Amino acid sequence: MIVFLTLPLALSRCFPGGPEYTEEMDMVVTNYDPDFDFQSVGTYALPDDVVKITGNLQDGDDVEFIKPEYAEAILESIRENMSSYGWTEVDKNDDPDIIILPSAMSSTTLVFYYDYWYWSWWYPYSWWGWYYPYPVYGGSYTSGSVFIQMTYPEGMTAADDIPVVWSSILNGLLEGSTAAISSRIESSVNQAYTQSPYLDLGGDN
Amino acid sequence: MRAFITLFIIACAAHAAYAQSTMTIQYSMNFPMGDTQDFVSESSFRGVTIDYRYHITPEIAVGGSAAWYTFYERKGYDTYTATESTLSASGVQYRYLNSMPLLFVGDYYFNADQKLSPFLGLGIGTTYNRLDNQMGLYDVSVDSWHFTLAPEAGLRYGVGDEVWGYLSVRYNNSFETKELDAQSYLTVNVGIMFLSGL
Repeated sequence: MIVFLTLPLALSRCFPGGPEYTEEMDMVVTNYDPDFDFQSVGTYALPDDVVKITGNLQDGDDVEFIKPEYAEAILESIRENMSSYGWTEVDKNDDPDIIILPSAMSSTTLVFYYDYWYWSWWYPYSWWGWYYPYPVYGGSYTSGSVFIQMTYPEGMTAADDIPVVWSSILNGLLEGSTAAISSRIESSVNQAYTQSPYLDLGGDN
Repeated sequence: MRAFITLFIIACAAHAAYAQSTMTIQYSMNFPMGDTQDFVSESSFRGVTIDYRYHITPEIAVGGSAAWYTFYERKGYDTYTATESTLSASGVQYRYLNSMPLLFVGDYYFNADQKLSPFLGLGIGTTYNRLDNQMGLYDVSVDSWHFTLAPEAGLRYGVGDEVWGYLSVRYNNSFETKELDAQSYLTVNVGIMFLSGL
């Protein structure tokens, strides 16, 4: 009787199938502030580099950047998608409506939050922190992640916090050639915009 | 529930008259229904069921049933937005349901002295269900113990003095819990029944 009851228990849990290719592990998550009117803005600024989040940067330290080939894939994809959605890129000192902050990290444990001093080299304002008007999905990322945040400087609060009105996490395995990884990054950036149609200002897409 | 208790009382009253027990080992195919089908729509061909019966009379048997079934489905690349949420997530999903029913069962055999004997049964007990949804590098898992009712109909066919071929269809209906919606599926069992020394 005992054997009869325990035999099924002894069978290990079965998890057949599962991903066979690296790109099947890619995931794109986006979130936004539903109270923000994206149709009321139209210009954005974008840095020339993509910050590498190391998790242990202190105020005053030099910021690291990711490899140029990956940065180019990220920045160009953002530009193409923003243009397609009808946005206009301006210089950071030309009073942009939105400032986009792209960053990336790999093989490090970090919650989806980063301190403002990562951006002190570039961000054209001196009095900020960030806040998210929607739930932020934190967690540990032990693979490769690209973060894209849209900040809205005019929405600065009395506590000197700037709202992050849209954010995206692109997550996947950092496996394969540089070209293959760059291609997957581009696809993921495209997907982030595809699943965020509220960013569309009526462009030529 | 009342039917099961009645069956059990009748079985106990007839206990002295006849005593014989059987064991049945079955390969199980499962077809998801209801909320289970919403989560995993593909049929499962990974399952095993083991049944024990104590025959109080040739017609009436009581016993237990234990099983393990695995459902699996790969959902192609798609975008999922949670209800009333601003969050969207895109990726390939791998969905699993591992289900383990543990049931007390009562059966009634028609034409019990014939080679071919149909039967009706009712199982009552619990089922452990674990749902896994793997997306990207992440796995969201929910598990629960349910209360289960499982009516069954089948046939046994004698192929020797103490061995029968066995075919049955069982509807496993596990009721909603705090953690999980009701889970249900239809199980088709094919197996061998033999006299047990237990």
